[in-house]
Amino acid sequence: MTKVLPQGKLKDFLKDTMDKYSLVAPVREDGVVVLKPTADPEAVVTDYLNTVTSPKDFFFPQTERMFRFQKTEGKIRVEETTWQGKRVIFGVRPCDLGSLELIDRVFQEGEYEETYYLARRENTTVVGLACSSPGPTCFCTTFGITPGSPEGADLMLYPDGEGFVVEVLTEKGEALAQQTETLLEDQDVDLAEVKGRFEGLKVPLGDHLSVDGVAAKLDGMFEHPVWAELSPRCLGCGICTYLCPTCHCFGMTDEVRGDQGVRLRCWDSCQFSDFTRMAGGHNPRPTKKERVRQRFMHKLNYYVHRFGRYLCTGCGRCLEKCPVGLTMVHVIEKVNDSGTREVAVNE
Amino acid sequence: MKEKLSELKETVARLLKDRTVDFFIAYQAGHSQVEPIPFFLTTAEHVENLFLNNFCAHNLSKYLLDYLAGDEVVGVLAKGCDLRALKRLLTDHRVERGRVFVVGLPCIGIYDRKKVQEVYPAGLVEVVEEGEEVILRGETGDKRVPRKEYLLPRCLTCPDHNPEFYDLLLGEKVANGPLAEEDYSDVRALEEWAPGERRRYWTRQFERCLRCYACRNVCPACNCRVCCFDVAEPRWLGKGTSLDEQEMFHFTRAMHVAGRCTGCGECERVCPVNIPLMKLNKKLAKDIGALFHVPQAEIPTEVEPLGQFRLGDPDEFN
Amino acid sequence: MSKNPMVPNPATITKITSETGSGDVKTFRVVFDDPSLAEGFTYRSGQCAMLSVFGVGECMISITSTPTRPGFLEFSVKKVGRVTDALHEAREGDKIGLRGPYGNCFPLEKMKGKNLVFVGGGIGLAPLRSLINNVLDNRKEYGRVDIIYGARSPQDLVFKEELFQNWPKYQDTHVYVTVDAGDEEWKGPVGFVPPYLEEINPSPEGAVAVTCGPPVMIKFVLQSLAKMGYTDDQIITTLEMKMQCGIGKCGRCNIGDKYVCVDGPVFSVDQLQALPDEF
Repeated sequence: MTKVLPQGKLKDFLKDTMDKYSLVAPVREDGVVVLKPTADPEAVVTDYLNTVTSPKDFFFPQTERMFRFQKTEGKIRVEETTWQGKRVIFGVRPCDLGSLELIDRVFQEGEYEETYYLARRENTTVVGLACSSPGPTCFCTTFGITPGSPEGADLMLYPDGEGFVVEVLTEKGEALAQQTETLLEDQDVDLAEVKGRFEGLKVPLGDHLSVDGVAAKLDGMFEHPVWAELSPRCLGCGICTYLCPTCHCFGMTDEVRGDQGVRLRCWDSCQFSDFTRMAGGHNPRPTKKERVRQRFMHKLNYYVHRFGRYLCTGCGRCLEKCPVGLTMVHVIEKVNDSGTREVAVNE
Repeated sequence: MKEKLSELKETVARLLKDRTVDFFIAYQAGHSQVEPIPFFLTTAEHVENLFLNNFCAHNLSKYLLDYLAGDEVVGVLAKGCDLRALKRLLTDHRVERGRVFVVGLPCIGIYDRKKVQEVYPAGLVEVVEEGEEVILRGETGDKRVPRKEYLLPRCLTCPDHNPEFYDLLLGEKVANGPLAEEDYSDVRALEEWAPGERRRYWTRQFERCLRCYACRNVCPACNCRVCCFDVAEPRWLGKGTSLDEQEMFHFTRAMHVAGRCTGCGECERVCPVNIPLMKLNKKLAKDIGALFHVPQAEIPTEVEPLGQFRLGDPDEFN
Repeated sequence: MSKNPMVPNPATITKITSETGSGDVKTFRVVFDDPSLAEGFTYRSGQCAMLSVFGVGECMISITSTPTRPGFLEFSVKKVGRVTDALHEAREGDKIGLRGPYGNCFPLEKMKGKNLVFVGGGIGLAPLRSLINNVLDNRKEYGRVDIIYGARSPQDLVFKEELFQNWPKYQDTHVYVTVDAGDEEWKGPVGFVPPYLEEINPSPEGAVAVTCGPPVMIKFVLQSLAKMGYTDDQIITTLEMKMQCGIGKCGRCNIGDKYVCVDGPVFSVDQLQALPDEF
């Protein structure tokens, strides 16, 4: 027996969820579908290819208050802020589910943990939504993800006929299933068969784009002319990095009023000119060439060296939104097409 | 526009071969028909990859700012709207006319990728113009739609189907004249709302802002050497995102480009979260037009309404 | 201490020494307010710490004191930007925040029994000072020590008391100081560090060279050392990149796949050769 959420019960599912959790879900607003905290199940949509913004926003928010400080007569008091909440993020696509696992590695592994991210991760239940019809910008299969991959979800929904076939993957998912159990029907459905159907769906772009050997090839391409060729059209904006579900670079800033203030951790972008500019003025990445190279080397080479996987899940947001088509697909194609000869510049 | 491709290829190849230009900025094919992308050609061999269709929206002249330090002569393909942007850069003394070789491109309108993709999310092969209608021709068949409804907003009121000046014109001039008069109807509609309603509308827009700065980076009027928002000290704008900071950014930018905005709408076109930035810019253009008796606030002039001071000015200069 | 590595610990500036004539370099002696931290904080020469001026921001500064002299930490800071400007405004008794220590350290084990050549320029003597005092506090474990140091002018020399009085007193420890341009009172050598180093010409035999200073000086010092017969694995230097988190997460101080905050700042030249040229 497999649990199924009938289509007609979806709003009730969200309502019951909200009894115990705060809800973040896809909402259509001024022509775009964004993930947003919402208290209105009626506003939640499921007819989207993917949300414009990615779920990372709710684990690694654009602005995170790290701590408060207060200066009083010869003393300083530092008060750490920790995120308190119990949240469900609904409707996360497989590519975005995969991206959470990639950011987890960065913030979890090594000598130090990034506790703000981990606190949000621990207290959030992720409801995945398998893709019935991958779009023209989707290429998840390039990175071994399929329209039905549940990895990264606590509870996965597979749209099937008049409802959603439910797969519980973790304890958090189990807790949510219990919270909504009156709405989930036990039906004679073969979960493996349903999953297999999604896993086998065609992803036209991804199915034809291979990333095999790209990391190794890039080992010898730091000085390759491809970067000078790709970078002039870059606008130096932050669209790619801010919409990317795997980009996770940040900076810190203090905001102060009188004797008290907060330190914020804010998104930052390797495409911004001041990202690596040092106090004395020296900038190791002074032009668009170095900055564009950094972004793609990070995703297709540096991260692979550190964590053994590519830092991209083929969500297609850069294809959809980069105003000048400086996309992951374009770069992978360029790398695949280029010779590996190393060209020494400035010599 | 497509039919001019072979002439463009010949022209650019010649300009590069005879060193009239050191490199040339035009378009290449992107991920699909609806998204051609900027292309920097450095040799005549590159012309094989040139691309031209009626989705070539990008204003390429903004890239000239990336080459101020050198002494190269840069060739650039410019539609009427792009030429206005170039005129902005020339008027602001940011770019030297002698270092730009303009290949003018007559244009009767560029299609709005977002609108076309609503009808044809994938597999569009071409757009065929037939009078007041267009045929969206795709892998799964044709769709006939009214032309006006699928153009970029800027194209409807475009006064310059032919670039105002150029070093060389591609093909013949086309009949000029805007498809519609600029009546600021969208601004007027907003003006009629109750203040609270307007507040809620703009709050929703700016709360969505990611502060990616794409609007600023693509804007020909945003051509400062160093943007005040990129300066670490004094820090005019916090790195943190909040409605306050977003408004500070957008209002400052709108006021800074007021009277200098060329109406190209590139800011709105590239915004990843659909913030209707042109409503802000148009509101200012409309008010400047009315207050300073400027007929077309979007046309760069040597002496701008907000860029001059007269001794007889009734307002104090402070 | 908080489990959260991003939260600084309150500390007090107990002593401020102005190092240079213009006062653009100051050394801050700092003690943690939490007594358990003041005693329990351990670090190694070459490591850095994040200094917070609350309300202004943070900056990564190398620890210039030596773990062999516990009880306090010292940081020599040049006034170059927002945070360092604010630090320079501080007075003794003021509160700052401190977190760390971060990064790797100088390979002291590898240096034991070796002749040591320290080559510093300007404020680059700060990380070396920790190492030099560490070595001198265990003087018997190392061979001959040569310290070659230069600054733009006599006014720009830092740690003058140690350079001219303390360090030369140690056995078999030789201090050579040069300035790019002298003044009326300067009686010492005048000239850039790299040619001066070649003039002194300490033997590469059984030696390890450690160099720290402005990038252009390091570039030429490395050339000089190579000319003098030092191999890449005998030369150690430190790198500087813009840092924010200090814990390998924020993604800006990388050179290739190495993050200077956790994998550096100390690198041997043969390690540097394997990195892309982007620093």
